[in-house]
Amino acid sequence: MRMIRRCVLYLVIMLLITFFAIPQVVFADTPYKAWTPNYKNKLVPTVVPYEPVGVIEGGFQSPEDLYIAQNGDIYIADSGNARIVAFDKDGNLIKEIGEGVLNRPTGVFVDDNKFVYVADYGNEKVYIFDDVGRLINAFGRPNSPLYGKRSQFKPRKLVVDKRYNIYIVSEGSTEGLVQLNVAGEFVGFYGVNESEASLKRILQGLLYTEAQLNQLFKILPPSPNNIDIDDDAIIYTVTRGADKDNLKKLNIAGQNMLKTVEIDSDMSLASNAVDVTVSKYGNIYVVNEDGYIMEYDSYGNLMFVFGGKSNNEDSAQRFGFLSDPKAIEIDNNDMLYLLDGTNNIVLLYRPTEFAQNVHQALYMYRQGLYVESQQLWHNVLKWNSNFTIAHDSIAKAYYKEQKYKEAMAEFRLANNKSGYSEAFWEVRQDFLSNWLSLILGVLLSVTVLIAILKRINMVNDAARSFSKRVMERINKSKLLSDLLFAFNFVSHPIDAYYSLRWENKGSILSGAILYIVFFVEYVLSIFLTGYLFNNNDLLNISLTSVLVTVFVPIILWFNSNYLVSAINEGEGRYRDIYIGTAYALAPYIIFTIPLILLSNVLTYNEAFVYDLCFYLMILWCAILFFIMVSVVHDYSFGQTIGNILLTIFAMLIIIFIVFVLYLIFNQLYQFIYSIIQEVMVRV
Amino acid sequence: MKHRNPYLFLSPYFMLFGIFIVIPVVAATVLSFTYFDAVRPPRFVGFKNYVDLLTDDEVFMQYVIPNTIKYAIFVGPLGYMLSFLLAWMLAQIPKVPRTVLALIIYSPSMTSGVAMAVVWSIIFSGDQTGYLNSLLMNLGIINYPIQWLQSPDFLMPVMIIVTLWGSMGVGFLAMLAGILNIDPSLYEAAYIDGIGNRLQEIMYITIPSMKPQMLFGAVMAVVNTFQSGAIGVQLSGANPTPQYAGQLIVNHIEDYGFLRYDMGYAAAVSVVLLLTVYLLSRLAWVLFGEND
Repeated sequence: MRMIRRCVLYLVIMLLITFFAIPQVVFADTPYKAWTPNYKNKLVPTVVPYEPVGVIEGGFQSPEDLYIAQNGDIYIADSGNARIVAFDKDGNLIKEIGEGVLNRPTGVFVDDNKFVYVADYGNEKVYIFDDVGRLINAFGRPNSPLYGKRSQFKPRKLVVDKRYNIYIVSEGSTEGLVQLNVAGEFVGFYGVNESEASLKRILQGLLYTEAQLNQLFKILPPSPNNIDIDDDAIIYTVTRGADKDNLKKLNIAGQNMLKTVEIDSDMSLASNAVDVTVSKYGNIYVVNEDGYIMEYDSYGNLMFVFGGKSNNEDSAQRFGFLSDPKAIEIDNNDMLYLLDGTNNIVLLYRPTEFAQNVHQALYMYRQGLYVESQQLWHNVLKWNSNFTIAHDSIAKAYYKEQKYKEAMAEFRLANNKSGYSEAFWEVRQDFLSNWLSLILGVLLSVTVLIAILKRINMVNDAARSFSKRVMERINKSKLLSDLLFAFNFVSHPIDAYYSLRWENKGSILSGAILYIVFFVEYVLSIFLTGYLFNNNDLLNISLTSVLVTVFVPIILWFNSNYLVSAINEGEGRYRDIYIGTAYALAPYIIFTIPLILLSNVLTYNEAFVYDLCFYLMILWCAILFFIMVSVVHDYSFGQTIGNILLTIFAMLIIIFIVFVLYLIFNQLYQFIYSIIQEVMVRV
Repeated sequence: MKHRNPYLFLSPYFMLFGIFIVIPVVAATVLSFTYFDAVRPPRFVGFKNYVDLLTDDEVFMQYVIPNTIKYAIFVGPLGYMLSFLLAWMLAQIPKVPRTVLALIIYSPSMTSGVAMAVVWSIIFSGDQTGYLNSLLMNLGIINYPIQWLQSPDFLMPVMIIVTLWGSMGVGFLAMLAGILNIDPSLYEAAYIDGIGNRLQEIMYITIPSMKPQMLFGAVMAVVNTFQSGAIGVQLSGANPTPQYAGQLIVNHIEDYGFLRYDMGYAAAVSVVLLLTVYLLSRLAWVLFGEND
């Protein structure tokens, strides 16, 4: 076969770049964009990690697979021409394999003896050729009873591990990869995907009879689509169309070792993955049907998304875009090779200096060279100062160096809350070990002092006269005593609501003050709750929206409650509901400030203390609401529940009516506005 | 000697109390200020054990205290409320079924060791033949059996469930007796005065009339919660429990006292435990005790 001259030219240029050019030189804008997840796991644009540098054209016809051997030779399963072709790294044709034997080769793999393994979808066989291209073995469908009577053998892709076990992706095999040993005997299935039962299915399983269950469709796990193996013989699979775990890194038991992180993006990422490859650093590359290439670190954290597929035919020809990605491979210099099945070419991508830094830093970190990796990460941050993985890794390195305060700051930039919690724990522990003995000593002496003073009756008298004076002051001012009355709602809610209704406790003003205090504390809790317990996105908070979310439901509540109970034998006046609602928020008003303080000193270790207090506070408020409706309107238990449900219904109706009115008036406004426009233009 | 006779009558109590309570407590307190490895004589080290406990013992601060608080918060109040609820419900039914049911409900707290082996270890068995695993796998909720008793995520919930199941102890019996002792005419009078439902009956009559029993139940709940430590070790079969997931203060004491033979340190931990229990009992007094 004749190589096209352009290809050689490209390769020469590429080699020159790789070996001689100064890395800083960037000589062309990449045609595509690149994204990286930010601290909220939302994709944002970043520096391009890979740029297209070359093309190999070899007269292929719908090629299906690509493999880079250890020495850099490129093997391509040229499916349409029913052969395997091999090039050396300079692009010269070395050999063609399998003519006359192969029918439709779809997968190729080369082991360390340069033996070539081919999955032939057309012949439903796996072929093994030696280093000069002689056929030495062929395996068909395993006849072991363990393989199953009806299971088909449709080999699409394959890899071979160091002991020459063959792992085959067989089309439609729901039981996972087919594993054959060196003699071609069936060893077992490996790395099965998981199927998930829906709630409906679980209920069916509980209620249906055996016969009914047999009539249902079986829930079958999706079969894997493609496969790769790294230098440590760890196998990676991608599965298209699975709900989760599209990319898997399998341990020896065939279970997934990667943690999936939900990425907020419009693009479909690994969910329609086509192929996967692993670099010598352990980074995982996945290409999907849309031509996007994803790079993950070895723990499965998404680092980059780049590339793409152009929508119209013309730009599909633009250098760097893919129109029908079939396979992805990476060589030892971190060059990416993408096989395009429609254009019948191999596209070459080279890592930019940015990506090289990232790879180097990840590698250093995994080797335990934390200080060195930190310097590289700081380099990376010069390109993209919001690069989450850089901040996360710097933080982890600081943590390992026991610089916990610096680690906290970096964890915060990376929005890694559990890491922040651990670093904060260490800082707090350090503080405690310095000051705890002093604090305990002071506490102890104060307690002893108070006990002594109590014994000689000095404090008692002083306290008694002081509290007497305070009480007098409070009793004089109706407002102050009304406000302090809120504490009664916490301890004796029923009696307190009774006196609110019948003894004129509380006033419009005290209610208003409580609402304002509630609002202020709500805003404070948004901004001052400790980082670990704060789920608000502080960058996107507007005071108006907080005002609306706080006051609209409250105003709706006491209005609709009055409307509903007035026609339902409710005895409460509008005033009672208005003030009562304010007092029902008393637990929140009293306990929010302590909770905010608490949230700033707790770590996730003690998170349950905060959560428990928080939910107790909310529950308490809910109980007070219930008691308010019951006592103020003098309802029984059942009537109260009915009333609350009716009130909520009325609230929804009001919202609905307001919405409809808004739409109608909006239409009217548009109508009048366009008439005026029309008149102004025509007249 | 005019006052000799009363002391004579008190002496059996004082002797037992002294031998079994006062002397061990004093001995533990003294030991807690020493380094004692159970072979060589104790060596006085001052407050070192306490300072180490609060500043140096990361397992204590990071696992034992959070675990103990979590366990106590769930088991204490929940078990207490459950005891009261069950006692109140039992008090509503006739005598014969009541006695039988009370015995059944009370029995887990006496037989926990046997029951643990017979019931719970089979239910929570870690392979696919365990009842819970088998059930969940048949329904398709999980695909692999979960090691309930060895997994750090599940050991604590399992401990809480098993303890709640066995928490209807003496406190429960006391409450049942307390409820049965209330004069029925009180309820009749209350209904004439206008209470409307069972909830009010409990709030205004039942609980105020059985305050002493409630207090006893509360104190027993607090003490039991903090004393129980065997459960995590029994379930997981190891001390320390897997990744300290079920490590309570008592396990920590056992760990240091009987596995590492650092008796002084273990004594310091148990003094801290004693103080905690004492303070919480005082809290129970404030909540349920007679105010006058």
